[in-house]
Amino acid sequence: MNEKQLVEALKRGEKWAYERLYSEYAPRIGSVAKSFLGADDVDDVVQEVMIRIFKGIKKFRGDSQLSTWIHRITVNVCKDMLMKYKKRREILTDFSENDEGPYYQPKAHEDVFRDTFNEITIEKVLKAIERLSPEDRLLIKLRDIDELSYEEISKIIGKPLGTVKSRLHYARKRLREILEEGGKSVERSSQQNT
Amino acid sequence: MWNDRLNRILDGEEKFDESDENLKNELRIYKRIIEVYSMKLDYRPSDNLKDKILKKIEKRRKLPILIFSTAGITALFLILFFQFFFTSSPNLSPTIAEIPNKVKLNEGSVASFSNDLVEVLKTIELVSDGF
Repeated sequence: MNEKQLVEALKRGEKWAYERLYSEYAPRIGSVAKSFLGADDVDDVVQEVMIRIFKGIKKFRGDSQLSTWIHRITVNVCKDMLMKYKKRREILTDFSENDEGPYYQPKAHEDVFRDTFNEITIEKVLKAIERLSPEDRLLIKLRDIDELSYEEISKIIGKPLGTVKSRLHYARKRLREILEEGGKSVERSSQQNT
Repeated sequence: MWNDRLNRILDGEEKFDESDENLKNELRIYKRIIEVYSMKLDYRPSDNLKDKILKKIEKRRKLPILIFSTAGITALFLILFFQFFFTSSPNLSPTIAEIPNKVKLNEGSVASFSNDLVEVLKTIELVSDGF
């Protein structure tokens, strides 16, 4: 069973095709949604994406890979959800705190990052990642975890390849800075304790 | 500088120099971060959600059939109703030409109706101004 056959079966509305689509793509959809929204409960996103796939599959011409198309739908659904949450003031995580805050340029030496990383717990790593913007988290997820090409990422988020690349480089840099910031505070607190 | 090199290595644009201990350490840390984040993003969809989604899709798939069949049944009922109405109406309201054939009046009632009509016409004549 190749992708083309699956798409044809989806267009015909065959149940087994949707079952297969779910088992193959739901984990990826959920994972992308978790990175973008910073939330654990993403069932609504998965459901909405599946419904949008059903609605739009007849218009899918196969110009891009099915996975790229589904990723794109997922990102759009996540953006819609985020807008809805913001409107209702029910944001699960306060992303704006980091986006609109003053840009922090740490002067710490690189060694601080290396020396204190061992003291940075998993929880702190996750908190640092949460402080990135949804788009930055998504880029790290798609490139460094899913190992997608820049071309694919560019198609998914609908931005030029150069923008994607520079944005990802910035995201990695920002993540490192946040961790350094955390590392310095760990160092300070340990000095205070001694 | 560190960041540029790390980005180039992560993007596969620069070969990783095993001898550079600092870079090696940086990469190890970054990979560890990504590993942690990857675990955090792990998502396992439930069977309940699968059933819920498939039911919704099935419902939406059947929606056009439901709409068309409802419209078809309604149209059929309307056609039958109007057909019944128009085919049965000539018996209920006969044309003027058909009345003498359908209605049989007796002699006495016709005569009494004629006398009454004459009386009414006479009254009208009396009160009329001649025009």
